[in-house]
Amino acid sequence: MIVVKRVVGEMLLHFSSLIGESFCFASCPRILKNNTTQIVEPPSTLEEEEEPLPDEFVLVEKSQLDGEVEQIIFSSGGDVDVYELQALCDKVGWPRRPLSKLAAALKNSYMVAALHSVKKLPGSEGNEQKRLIGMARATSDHAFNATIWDVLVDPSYQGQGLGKAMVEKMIRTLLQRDIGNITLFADSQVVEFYRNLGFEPDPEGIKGMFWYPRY
Amino acid sequence: MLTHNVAAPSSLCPILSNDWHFHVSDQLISPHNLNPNLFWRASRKIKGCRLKSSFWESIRSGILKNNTTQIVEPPSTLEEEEEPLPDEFVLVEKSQLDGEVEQIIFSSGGDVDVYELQALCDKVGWPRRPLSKLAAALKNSYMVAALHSVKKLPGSEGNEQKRLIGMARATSDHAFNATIWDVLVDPSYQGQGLGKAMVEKMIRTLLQRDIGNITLFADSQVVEFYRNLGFEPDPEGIKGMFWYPRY
Repeated sequence: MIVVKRVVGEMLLHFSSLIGESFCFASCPRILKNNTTQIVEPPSTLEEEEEPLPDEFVLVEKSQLDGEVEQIIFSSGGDVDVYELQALCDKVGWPRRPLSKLAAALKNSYMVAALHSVKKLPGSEGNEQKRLIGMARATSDHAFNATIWDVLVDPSYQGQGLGKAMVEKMIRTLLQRDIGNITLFADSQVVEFYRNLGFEPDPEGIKGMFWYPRY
Repeated sequence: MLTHNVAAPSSLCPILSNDWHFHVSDQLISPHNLNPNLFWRASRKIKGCRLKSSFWESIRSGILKNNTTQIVEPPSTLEEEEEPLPDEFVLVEKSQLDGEVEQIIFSSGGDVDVYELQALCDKVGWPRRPLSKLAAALKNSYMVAALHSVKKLPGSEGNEQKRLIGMARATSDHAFNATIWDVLVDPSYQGQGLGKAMVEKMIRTLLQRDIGNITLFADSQVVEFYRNLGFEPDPEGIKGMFWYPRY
């Protein structure tokens, strides 16, 4: 029997209720009608309502019958090994990208979120096996807009809500940093996944466009 | 085959596998050939660029099909085909009867005064945003392109009047993706192709820096404007999405 503890279930619920109340699309210039008013986002609102997310915390903990414990750890500190990332991208079937460019992309992303699996056996003298099992990153101008890119979860770990949790944490962190316009480009087969996370395609007819050669 | 006024150097197709056939005819009119009262125009004919993989694959692969080979981008290919854009150059030059000369200068060095930008955003009717955030956004954009009008009167001892009349910026991960934000041109200067030129230059610079995935989010009324610059909405069903609260 596997015992699963959702350590941050409470946090997730709290997060969902927050979304409805305090955060809106207001930091996008398109929303305001009166153009003589300065936007002042009241930071105190944020502090009253929630604590900042720690950079790293346990999302899930599972105990096996033999005493092995596996933790799935979320981190937003950018601690992603580029070789591990390459291997993960291979595993999900993405085409290879040059390692140097992958490294540059990680370095120059505003936020890099990662999921690691940490397995410990009892009595193993603290030896643990740590593996990268998920990643997502966002670029941003640090003020108004962020775009989420490259969301991936190891296929062996999909279907457990880990990708969802990872993106939710990213959103929460971005909002805490007062970045109100959070965007992404979704393949058609994952539009629903993001819709369930609160994303809307083409709001008010705004179209995502790609520069692409014509034939 | 399509010819359009888009700066499209060789790395426009970041995928340079054997499947690609790409020819560029070099008809670039460089700034020093500029005739007064004429717009600077870069015409590149894009011939026979044939895509064999799916859109995302081509973007992600950044070239490779064989995953045991490292990509080495041959920089010499770029050099043969075009020179890098200078950071700043004259787009348009107009002479008035009284001898006043006005130059419209494009720059991508990020020299935008935040107060001037605020005034320009007011002028186009955008809602006010906090100055500190505007400044942070400029500082943390990968590229900030600007258009300035510089007016000189003859015999005015070199005194000139310089005004910000356009701006566009892009965020990027410096490797794969860029997103263009906040494209604006002073209404008094719209309709002359300046916005188009500004975005074209940005695209060209991004491509020269090997950033192959160039994106943006367009209000419905400007989708056509960007289509004419080579942008496509929802390629292969990929949707731009915004995080928006549910009520």
